[in-house]
Amino acid sequence: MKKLLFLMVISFVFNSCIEETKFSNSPKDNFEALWKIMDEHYCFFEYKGIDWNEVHNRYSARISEKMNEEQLFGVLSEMLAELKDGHVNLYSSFDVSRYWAWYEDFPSNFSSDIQKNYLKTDYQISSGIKYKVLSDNVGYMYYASFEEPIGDGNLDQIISKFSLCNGIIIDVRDNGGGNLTNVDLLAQRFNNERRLVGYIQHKTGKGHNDFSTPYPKYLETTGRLRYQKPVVVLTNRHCFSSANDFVSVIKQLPTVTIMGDITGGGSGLPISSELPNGWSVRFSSSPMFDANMTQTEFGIEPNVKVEMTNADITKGVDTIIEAARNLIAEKSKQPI
Amino acid sequence: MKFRTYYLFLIYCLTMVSVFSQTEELLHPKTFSFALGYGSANVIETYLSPYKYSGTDYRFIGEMSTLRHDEKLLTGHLLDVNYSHLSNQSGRGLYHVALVDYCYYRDYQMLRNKQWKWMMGGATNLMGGAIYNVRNSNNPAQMKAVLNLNFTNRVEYVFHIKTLPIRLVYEFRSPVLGVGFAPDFGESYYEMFQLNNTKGIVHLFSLQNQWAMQNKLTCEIPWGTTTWHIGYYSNLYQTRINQLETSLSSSNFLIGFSKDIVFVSKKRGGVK
Repeated sequence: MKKLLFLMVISFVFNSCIEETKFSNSPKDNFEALWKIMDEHYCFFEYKGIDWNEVHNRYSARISEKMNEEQLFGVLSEMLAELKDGHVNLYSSFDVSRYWAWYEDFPSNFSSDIQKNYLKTDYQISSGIKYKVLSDNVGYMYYASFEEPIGDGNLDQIISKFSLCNGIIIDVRDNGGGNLTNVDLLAQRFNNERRLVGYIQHKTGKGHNDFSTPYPKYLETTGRLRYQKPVVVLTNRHCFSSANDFVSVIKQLPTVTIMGDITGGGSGLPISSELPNGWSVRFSSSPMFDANMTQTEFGIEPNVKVEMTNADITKGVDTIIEAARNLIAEKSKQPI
Repeated sequence: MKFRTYYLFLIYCLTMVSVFSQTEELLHPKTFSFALGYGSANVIETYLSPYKYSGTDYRFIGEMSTLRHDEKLLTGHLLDVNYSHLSNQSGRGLYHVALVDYCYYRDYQMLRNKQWKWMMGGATNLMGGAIYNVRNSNNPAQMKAVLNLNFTNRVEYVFHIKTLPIRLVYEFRSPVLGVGFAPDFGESYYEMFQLNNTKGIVHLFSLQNQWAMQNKLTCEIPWGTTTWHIGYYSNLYQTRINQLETSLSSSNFLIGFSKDIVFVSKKRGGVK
């Protein structure tokens, strides 16, 4: 019994004592804490070719114990912008850092004012989706954010409304993402069989290359109403995160055409952590891939590249919607 | 040698918990006790944050125990419900921690004299709950689910103030082997439960990756047909799995009461 108790005590002494990571609330320690969190958890260092140690050396020289909160926030934000990732944000009580060059540096290819010329005022809204049958018997639905919850009842109503249309336009331009479960709910309505649509990995350790074996993602089918005619999905640079995932998934379906501009990307599933001063940081942690194990962090190419022209914009015409209507008209003439 | 001793100890715990007495019909009254606890808690959960969260802890403990007629075996069921409301050092983060722990124990008398009594035995406990961080994105919470086999100890000391018998009871419980849930280092709940990648989320817990102990010291004062309890309870639960660290510790002031209730079987001519 004495040996046993000795063994237990030894086990406790040598194995236990989990202690808090020690950082003070100084600018230097907040900088080091942020750098370490990203170093251990961020998932795209190797893919993006980022030398994080070099970034540390460059930015640590700019940290001074005399700097105030806003100055510190500015330097930390610049350091995070090196990652070129829209999923990386630093949250303080006075500002949110962001990297939005993935759409700010490109043509918008979407105008809500021009969209009103198509929706007019008699469109319907089911949960977060605005929808209407256009004059040429094409169903048009606009999903502005995957944050908006959608249910099977909502989708039944929309698919039912569009059942006699020649095709459907699903407009996800300017959709900045949201809940990944909504991606599957919507995509299932156009899928007739269980289908491989991508892969996901997660970090298994603190090393930059410590990743799990890619785990396949499958899109299931649904026993509820499914649409079988041509579908055109409209995209622009502002399709990010879950919207990017939606495009990656639905692009695998045979009845679907992706049209518009390349998507904004954002394929890393983001998680959060925090600094000693309480600022919260969000960053990509689990990379997601398309069905061919290709990274989609920097966007997905459309099947048909179409951009809004200045001439059309002046006339209040959405070039991409018009191209989608033409494509559906062509496809509806083809025998099934 | 070390592992041999460890496995012998596991066999001892299993024996203590699984061997059921054949003398159930001769059991003494059942003792029902209830206690409320108030105190402080500290939590480190590196899946959610590298930093310690501290705050207020609330606890409810309900227990039903039975002492065999010869007083050499104490068996019981214990339910421990715990909620903590915690913030980090900066005051900008908030955790809600809710845990439920059910335990079945069997303690055997080892030593006894007029004032002292020492019992030792084993217990199985099932603990579940979650630590919720109100501002995290895709890692908002860490679930806890573990089934453990425990080593238990109980020491009683009886003394009198004038004619009033007062009993001090010290109870100790520590797990030695278990099985439980833990995600991989950077694995999201979306991947585990939405995409069903459940590979590797169930782990064997031993003294290599789980260290926990519960200590309870209570003073039991009889008053009429009720016994009042005042005590101190401390709980430490730590795991280190997949480079993720968890440390839950709490200290509570306890106040409660217990009552002995006799159940007489109809088969023996009584009423229930």
